[in-house]
Amino acid sequence: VNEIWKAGLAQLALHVESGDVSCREIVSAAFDRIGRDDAKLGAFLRLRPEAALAEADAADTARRAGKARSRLHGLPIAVKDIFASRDFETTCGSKILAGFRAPYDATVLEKLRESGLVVVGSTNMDEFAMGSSTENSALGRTRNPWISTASPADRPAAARRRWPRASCPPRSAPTRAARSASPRHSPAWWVSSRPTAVSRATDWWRSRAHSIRSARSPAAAPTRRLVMGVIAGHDPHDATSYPAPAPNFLSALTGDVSGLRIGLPRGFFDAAGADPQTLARAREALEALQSLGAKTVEVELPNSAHGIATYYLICTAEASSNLSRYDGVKYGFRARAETLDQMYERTRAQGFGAEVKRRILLGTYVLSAGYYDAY
Amino acid sequence: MQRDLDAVLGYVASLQALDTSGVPATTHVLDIATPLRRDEVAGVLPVSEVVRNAPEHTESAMVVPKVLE
Repeated sequence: VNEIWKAGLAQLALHVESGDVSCREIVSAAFDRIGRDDAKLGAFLRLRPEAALAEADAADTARRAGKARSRLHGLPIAVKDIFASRDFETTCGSKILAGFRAPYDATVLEKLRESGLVVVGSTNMDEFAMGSSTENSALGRTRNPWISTASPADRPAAARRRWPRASCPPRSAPTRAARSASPRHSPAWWVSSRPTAVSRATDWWRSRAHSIRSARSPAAAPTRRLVMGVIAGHDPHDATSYPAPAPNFLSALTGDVSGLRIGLPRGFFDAAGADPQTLARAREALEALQSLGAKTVEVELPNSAHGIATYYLICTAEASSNLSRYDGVKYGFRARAETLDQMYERTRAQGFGAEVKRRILLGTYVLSAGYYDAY
Repeated sequence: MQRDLDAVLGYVASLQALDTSGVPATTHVLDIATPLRRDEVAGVLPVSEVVRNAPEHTESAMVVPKVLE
């Protein structure tokens, strides 16, 4: 029970099903761990211990009666501060949303709830997700659990050495992959994938850049598969969500990769521009996949060098347009002012952080007459 | 801030080197039309819920500084 926090959801589901441990024990262990370490780490912004424990108890009762809502019923999950929630403030890591309490739950949260997952709280993020280290959060910086001076996205060398092994696809039993690597909460161990528009269920209430966002579950493969199975799908509340059924992650991701074709963009796997350690790990992972029967094919992505420049145009243009809704009228922070114009200006000047302002300015510029036509 | 913006714009200018004359204007890589919702009333929040988050509000309206003299 002491080591519960190390296990992924897929592994926890097996333990609960076999009766080794109750949902209450797991959810309390999560809060114990948060209580012990989060003062140092600053990962969580809001917590809901009483409600979460009550939900865990209800899940234990339902499971005993054979009425589990899903394999994940009663297991704990944390959500980023970007999903609108009725249970606590939703602020997107920004001062401008201070005090905002959503009148409804984001679709992702509704889906988690339908499957019985217990939301323990919300986690820190860069303001409006502009960054990847929390250094742009208005609500403080999250520390790396292994190296207190590093960004939370970095991983220690030890974990780096370990990850090729963890990145091998699990052959079948989820427990095997869950056992095979330990720094459980390191992105190093996470299997990351970007769902296409088809598989996303967003309704990120706080819209920022609608063409490049999607809800993801950063976790080990078996857990990811379970969580994506819950959250993927068309969201009728989101006009930018692709109206097609989501793939069945549970049946599609079996761990069997024989015959799978993996595209290797030409030029991505030579030394120019790539970190040699990362490259070495990627090659090891590829070899592992090949030894399990996957085929690699070289592909041509001639315009990939322009990806980041294009991203800057799209993401800043969409940010400048989508963030115009924060004006101090409808929700969140309002600066004191005599006139309406002054109120807009001061609210936005005081409410947004530097990175958000930078992107709004750039976006407004690239959308301006003359420049717009250039691209 | 000004230096940051200059740096980003300078970097983005590299796109000008691309020949896009044969490429049609693209708004999205997926060929789908903007979806329209059925014109039906659904999921309406009570006004009190909607105004609750406004920094200043009455029972039914959001309050802003005076606009007209």
